[in-house]
Amino acid sequence: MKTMIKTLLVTASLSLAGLAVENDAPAEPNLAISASHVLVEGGVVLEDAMVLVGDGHILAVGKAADLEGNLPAGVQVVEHEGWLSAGLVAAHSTLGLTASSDSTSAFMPDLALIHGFDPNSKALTAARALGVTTLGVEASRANVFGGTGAVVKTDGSVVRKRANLAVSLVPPAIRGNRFPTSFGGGMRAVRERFEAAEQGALADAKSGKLRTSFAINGPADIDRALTLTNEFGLRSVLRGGDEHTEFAAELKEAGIGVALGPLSLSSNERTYASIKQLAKAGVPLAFGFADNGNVPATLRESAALAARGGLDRATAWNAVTKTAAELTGAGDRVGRVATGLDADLVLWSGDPLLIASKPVAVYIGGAKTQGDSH
Amino acid sequence: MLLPILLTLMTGEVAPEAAPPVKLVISADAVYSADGNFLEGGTVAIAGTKIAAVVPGGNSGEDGLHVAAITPGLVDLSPRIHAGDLSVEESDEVQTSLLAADSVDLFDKRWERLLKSGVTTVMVSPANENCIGGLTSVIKTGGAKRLKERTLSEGNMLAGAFGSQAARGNHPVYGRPTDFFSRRPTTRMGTEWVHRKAFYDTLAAMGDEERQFDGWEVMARVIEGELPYFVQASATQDIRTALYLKEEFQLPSMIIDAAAEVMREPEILKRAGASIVLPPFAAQGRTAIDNSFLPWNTARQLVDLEVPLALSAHGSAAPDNNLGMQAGYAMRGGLTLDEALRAVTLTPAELAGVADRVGTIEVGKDADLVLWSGTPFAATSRVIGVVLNGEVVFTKQ
Repeated sequence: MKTMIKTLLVTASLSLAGLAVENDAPAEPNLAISASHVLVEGGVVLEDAMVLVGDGHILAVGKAADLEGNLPAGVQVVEHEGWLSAGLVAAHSTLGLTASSDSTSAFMPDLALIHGFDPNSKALTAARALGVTTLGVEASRANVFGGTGAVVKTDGSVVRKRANLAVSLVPPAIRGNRFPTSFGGGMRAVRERFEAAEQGALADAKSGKLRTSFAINGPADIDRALTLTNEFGLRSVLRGGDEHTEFAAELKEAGIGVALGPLSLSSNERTYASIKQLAKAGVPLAFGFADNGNVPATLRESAALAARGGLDRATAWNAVTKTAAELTGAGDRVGRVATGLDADLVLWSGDPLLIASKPVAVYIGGAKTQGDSH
Repeated sequence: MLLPILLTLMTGEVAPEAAPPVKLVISADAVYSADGNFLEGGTVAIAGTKIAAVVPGGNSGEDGLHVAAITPGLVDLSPRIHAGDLSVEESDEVQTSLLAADSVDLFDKRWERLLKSGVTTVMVSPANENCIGGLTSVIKTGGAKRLKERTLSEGNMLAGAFGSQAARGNHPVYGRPTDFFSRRPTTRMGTEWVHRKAFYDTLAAMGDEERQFDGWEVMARVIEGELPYFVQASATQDIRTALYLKEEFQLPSMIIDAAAEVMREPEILKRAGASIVLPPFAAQGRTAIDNSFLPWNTARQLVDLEVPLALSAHGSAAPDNNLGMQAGYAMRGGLTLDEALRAVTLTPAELAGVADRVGTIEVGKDADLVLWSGTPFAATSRVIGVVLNGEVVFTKQ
């Protein structure tokens, strides 16, 4: 732990230097939060640290002793006896959507899910009370091309209007009361449409502008996703599944990340073996809950269970923050406590990777959210 | 005589342009090559993924691997190892460009069962719930985990079905359609009508650009004989239907799968000409498809007619019903061991168009071998080892 802190001091001073260079006229801080532990990102914890917030962004992160002396007058100071971290990020979610697919056709690549997103949904309030601040919104598995998803925050604001294309070659997308009803029919249809696409979401997926999210059940689905990814040069993420072990090296080579469904106490050894194998191979790993009832509480539980199951703490924490943000395409905005990023911060009663800890306060864009945290 | 040859092979002295060195040598009391060659006491040498030498003689088992018998890896044209309903595209009864291999799950436990029973190459087709179901592929039962790397031949035949199965689940439309399955065909006649229409439309498309439709080129390849038509027909009436269709459209290459009752009317078969895949033999004679009857001597009769014959286990999981046992049952019905062996190796490999790679024990072919504890296909023998692409993938020792 001591070594860790030394490294962190360097990180902290770099952050401060970065602040001065990046912004010509740095925003004045209006909020300063000190905490006994600041979980900057997976594997990086600062003790007795402070985060300065201004204009909705993180302006500085450092030792409280270094920062608190220079606070301008009028800054609100919050002293927290506990942990502070970035808000949790769900790699995939359908929270706040009035519907997560449209049955007009099995092929709706340009259906924009953002238009089904209700920023006033009560589900968002519940999610942020649990410390979940950012959601990768993705279409459900019901259609082969489910549409383009977005990245939103649980205060209802929009980070990216159009962030991903959902592809499902698993039931129910391919066993509805319509074409296609087979893997072969689905593959053929996907190929034909990608080949023909010159504009829109399919063309943007081919050019890599949009990330393609493949719904996965078993390893055969991974084989199909790899085949399509290679054929069309897609930038892919695999959504769900618990048997990736065989393909860890191929996924790493193809630059494909894995956004798993939530873990539970009844997750089996195979699931943990798969997760550890992916981490060992260096495959980006995140958690989401779109296909599993959209229960936001499962997000932090998944990180805790992954750590309990033998995944290193840093990867486990990043899977619900930094890596999840990167896989959704919002890594430049959220997922870490770092200068320049959005001030989405959660104050915890203790180490957030311990299930006994609970969120005490949640900030999104520097503003404390309303409602009881629990 | 043997030793010097093998030693030369091992040191690579004769090897043209840096062939890989011999890595595995297996000797046996009997080597059945399935191409008519038989060695009483022989040795097979493997270099890389290929067979490097087949020579008489061999060690008696003090060193190296020695077994009672070696045959080529078995080939099953109809293992039914598809994804069930999810292999069937129900949006149209005629699927000419659907690729059955897209529905294959290489992590299915059935692959291991097939491999352990000695089957090293199979053809995959969709479940027979469409009139014309899609294109088949030939793949190995083990080895690489990516489908593409296991595939010997993609789209090597067009698969279809007659009989009751193709209309199963459909129901007639009275007034308004109620769902996706409110559609034709609902009967055997309907199934045949859909087939015939598809071939007529193709003939029309071949002569008139304006009548071309999606997938007509695939059908045209069937009419021209480039693509064999692999069609399920089990009951006498369905085999008639298949052969009538072959005659009507002069289809050069038809393989009838599950043709249990084919010898009820040998004269039509002789006249029309088709290759036959028999379904697994059943103790009471009644097979699983359309309850059709398969007499034990059917294989014998087909070979006497010089009809190309392949046996299939149709994916049966029961150990007493695997492909090797089918060969044994065919022998009980009168085939010689050589004829039975051919029906589970060389003939299916030829029909599938992959005989340059698999089907016999010959220098240069894929090193796919079955190692037996006794005479192949005998009730008292079992598979004690399987070599696939030069690797021992299964052994009981």
